[in-house]
Amino acid sequence: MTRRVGFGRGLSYLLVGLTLGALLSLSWRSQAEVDVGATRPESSKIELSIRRLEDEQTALKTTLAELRHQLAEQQQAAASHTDRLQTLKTELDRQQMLAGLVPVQGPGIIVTLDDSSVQAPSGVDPNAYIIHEYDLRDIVNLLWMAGSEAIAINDERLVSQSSIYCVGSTVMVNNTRLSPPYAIRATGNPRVQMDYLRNPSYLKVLKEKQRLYGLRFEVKGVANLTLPGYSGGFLVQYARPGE
Amino acid sequence: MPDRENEPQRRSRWLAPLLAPLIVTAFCLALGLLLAIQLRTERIARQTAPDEEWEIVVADLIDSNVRLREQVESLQAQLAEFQDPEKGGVVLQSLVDEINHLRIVNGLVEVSGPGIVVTIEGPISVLDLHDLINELRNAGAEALALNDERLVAWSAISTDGQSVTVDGYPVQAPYRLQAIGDAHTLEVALGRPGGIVELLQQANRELSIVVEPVEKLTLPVYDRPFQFAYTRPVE
Repeated sequence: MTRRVGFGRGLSYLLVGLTLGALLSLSWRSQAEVDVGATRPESSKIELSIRRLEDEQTALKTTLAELRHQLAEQQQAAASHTDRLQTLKTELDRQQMLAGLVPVQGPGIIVTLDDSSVQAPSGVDPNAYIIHEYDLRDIVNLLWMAGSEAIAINDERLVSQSSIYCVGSTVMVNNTRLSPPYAIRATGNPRVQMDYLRNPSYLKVLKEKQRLYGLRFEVKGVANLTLPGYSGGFLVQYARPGE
Repeated sequence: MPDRENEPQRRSRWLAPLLAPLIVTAFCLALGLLLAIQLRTERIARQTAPDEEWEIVVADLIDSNVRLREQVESLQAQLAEFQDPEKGGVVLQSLVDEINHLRIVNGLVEVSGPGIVVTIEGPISVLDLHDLINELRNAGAEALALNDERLVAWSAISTDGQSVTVDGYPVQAPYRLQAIGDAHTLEVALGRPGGIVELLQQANRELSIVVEPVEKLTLPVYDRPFQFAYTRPVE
């Protein structure tokens, strides 16, 4: 009996001891944890650099997201930019074509004019035997009336700022000296152009000079003419768009 | 004596029941201590392993940051290309400028500016009007109109038998030739001695040609339909 009682008491002691031991070990463990945290400088250094690297990563990711956003916007803009560029190019082509800056081809006529091969007899005005700038002007105006779409005299394309004038006996177009024979090339409907040129109501003086003094005035329809583009500039200093 | 003899006996009798538990307790304490030490060592071991792992973590982070920085640089380069004035806005602007410039030249936009107005009363031929226009162009007229009909490169001055026409549209006398440009140059070009105005007026005494400089003229847009039906650019 006493031995059993002693054994039971021993068992309870054992339990108490175990619990105590476990508690002790637990407390020690947490103590150990505290120690480790505080006494390992190399670990905190690593943690520090990790934190720094992670911060950097976050910053980089933010920058990257921002850049991607900007790039997407730019690409969107570029797409519409390209569309706009195409529209503008088309419009520029049209304006350049209208302005006479583009070499062109098409059916039309060639009018050839030259001074008379006949020597003016003494006492007769020698002016009657040569082609004047106003002769060229009259033909050009008539050709525009006949619906011509592009006109060039020799190698000078006629544009909105072109004038046909003379300095002495030299004909000037686009500030360039022209010498006879003069070839006026005009694209358009050759039949209509021919009708206008042959109409007796037009170019009366020229036609009379041709008949009387042997001035050269020939008209020829051509299936395909080529005209040079205007090579000069358009000076606009005073005119401003709008009111 | 027996008491003295008995004392240790009594003591042992008092100690005897405690001895075993004490041993057990000591043993258990030792066991707990061992456990704790074991745990601590484990803990330290666990602390040591991450040092290597962390180094890997650091290396990974550095790697990933390098890649991120490369991407940032690549995107920045792409963005810079988009913002390159050579490739973007400047080209667009120069196109717009050139188009606007040519629209003035082609008469396809309303324009304003200084210039002159030539008022013509009395008999004048179509050819003489044409010569006046030619003279103005020669003097650097940038935009022209006859009675508010804008004149373009292909404009033809004609007559329908009764009145003068501009591109087929009749205009009534008195004729007003409007030119934008340097007013003085334009005025001198027409009015100089032996100039076109003098010549025309000498030829016809009833003809009145008055040249007036104007600070600001506004010429309308050329609004006639025009299309190239026979002409195309050279390929």
